[in-house]
Amino acid sequence: MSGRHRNACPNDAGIAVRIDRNTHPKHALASIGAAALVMSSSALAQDQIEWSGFGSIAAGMTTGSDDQLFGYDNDLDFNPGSLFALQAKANLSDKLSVTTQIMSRGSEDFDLGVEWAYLQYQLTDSASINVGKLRLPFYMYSDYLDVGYSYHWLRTPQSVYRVPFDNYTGVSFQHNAFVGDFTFNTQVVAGNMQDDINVIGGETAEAELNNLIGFNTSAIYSNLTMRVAYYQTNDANISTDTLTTDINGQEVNIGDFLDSLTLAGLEGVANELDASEDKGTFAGVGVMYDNFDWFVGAEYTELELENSYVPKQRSAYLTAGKRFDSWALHATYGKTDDKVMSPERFTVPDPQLQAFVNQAANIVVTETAYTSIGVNFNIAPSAVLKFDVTHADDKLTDESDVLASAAVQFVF
Amino acid sequence: MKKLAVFLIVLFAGMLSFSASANNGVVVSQTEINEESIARIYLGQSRVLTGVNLPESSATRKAFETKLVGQTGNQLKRHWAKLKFTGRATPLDTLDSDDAVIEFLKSNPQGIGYVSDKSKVSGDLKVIATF
Repeated sequence: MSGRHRNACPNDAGIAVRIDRNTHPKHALASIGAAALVMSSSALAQDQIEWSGFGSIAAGMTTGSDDQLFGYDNDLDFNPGSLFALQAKANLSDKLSVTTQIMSRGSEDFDLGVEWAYLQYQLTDSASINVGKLRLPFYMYSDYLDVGYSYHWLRTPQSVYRVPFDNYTGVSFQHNAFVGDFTFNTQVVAGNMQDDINVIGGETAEAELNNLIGFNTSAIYSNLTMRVAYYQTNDANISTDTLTTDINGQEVNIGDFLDSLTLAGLEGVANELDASEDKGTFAGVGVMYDNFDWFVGAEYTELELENSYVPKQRSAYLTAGKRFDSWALHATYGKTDDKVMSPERFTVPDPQLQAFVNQAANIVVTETAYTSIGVNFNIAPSAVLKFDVTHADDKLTDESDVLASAAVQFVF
Repeated sequence: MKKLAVFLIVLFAGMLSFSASANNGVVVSQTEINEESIARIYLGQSRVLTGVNLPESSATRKAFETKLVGQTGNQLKRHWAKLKFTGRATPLDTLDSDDAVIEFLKSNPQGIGYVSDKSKVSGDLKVIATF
């Protein structure tokens, strides 16, 4: 046997799930969580690991040949809304546990990624602390975003659920309190976020949020849930290196454009445009009344990234529905209403340049109204078949798109 | 016609009382707590006691969930899916029968469960609610 052949031998020990998003340092904690789970799985008997999972198989297509919405176009597509997730939880002691959730999304070519990976310590009967890669709970349904089975929509309303990242790495403290007839669930989070995010129609950019802190509290009174959330960071960065915009029919790199502004002595305007070491805030309120026969709910959120091209993003939806024996009917209206704050900070002397600057200052501004109608059928105790038709009306471009989707969403 | 109406009313009332008596289960524990706390434990909001369930197909479980927890099986399933996949709570254990629940509760002073047959409650165990 020649040495050449020996070298070509496959590595027998290398049979493991490859976790694609693990290469970046941002996932160090997630990797620790995953490694801890693997270690604990060898130390513990197999039956001490709780396995569970959920998934969604969705198909959708727009009705008009030029229509595009939520990653779908006029060809039937199974990828954007489909996902599978497997969760493993191991109890290391009465109070300490480790959990990982590994997910495969159609929108990311079904590559495996670690969605959650955390250690949980139960401090008291009503308080616990999580450390690791966690979900950043901006919205009422953020925590369950991927578990379509648990909510009535086929997908959460995109008018509001539009922050282009879901997770952070850090700590979270959870507390339940009972005051009179009210239950208060409070969560306080601290950490940072580093990820490639979708910024303008499919373009990705490196983003980083440091010193991220915030909280959310839900007050539950019988069938009524009310929620407030607030988060902030003093160091938000979105790279402009990969972003382009169309100026006078020419593809212009925004990073280059900002550099040329600086060279032209307009550094102040360039700094007002780029998102670098800026302060970001997010505030949201939500309400849901659900008496099991029917439900009605709404959310309103505001996101601001000061001294950047990101406008003040104001988002809202109103949803209502009725449940019957084994099916449900619901409708949702939502809208985005973004506003460029203090536009005078983008003033430049040259009128032609001003037109370009204004365009750069408006690249992510949206003003879109969404109307959805959905019907759900319980086809098995742990599976729901959902149909949805969503109409999107873009007030800025005067274009409208219609998307029809169907999905089976399940837990196991 | 009047007779028929009376007959239907009596029949309907009879069916109602039958269906009510068919499901008189009891909530059992060694520790006294109020009905609100029972609902909170089965909604995963409180851990003051460790709750155990009967199987999903059990009529006693359905009656317990509707009357004391205030939710139907489907709603609770969605609710617990949320808790499980967000690390908010660990699903409660399911035991096969009244006898298994009673046995668990006898050896767990911090346990709570429900059974269909009140006569099985003995020793240190107390009936803390009926449904």
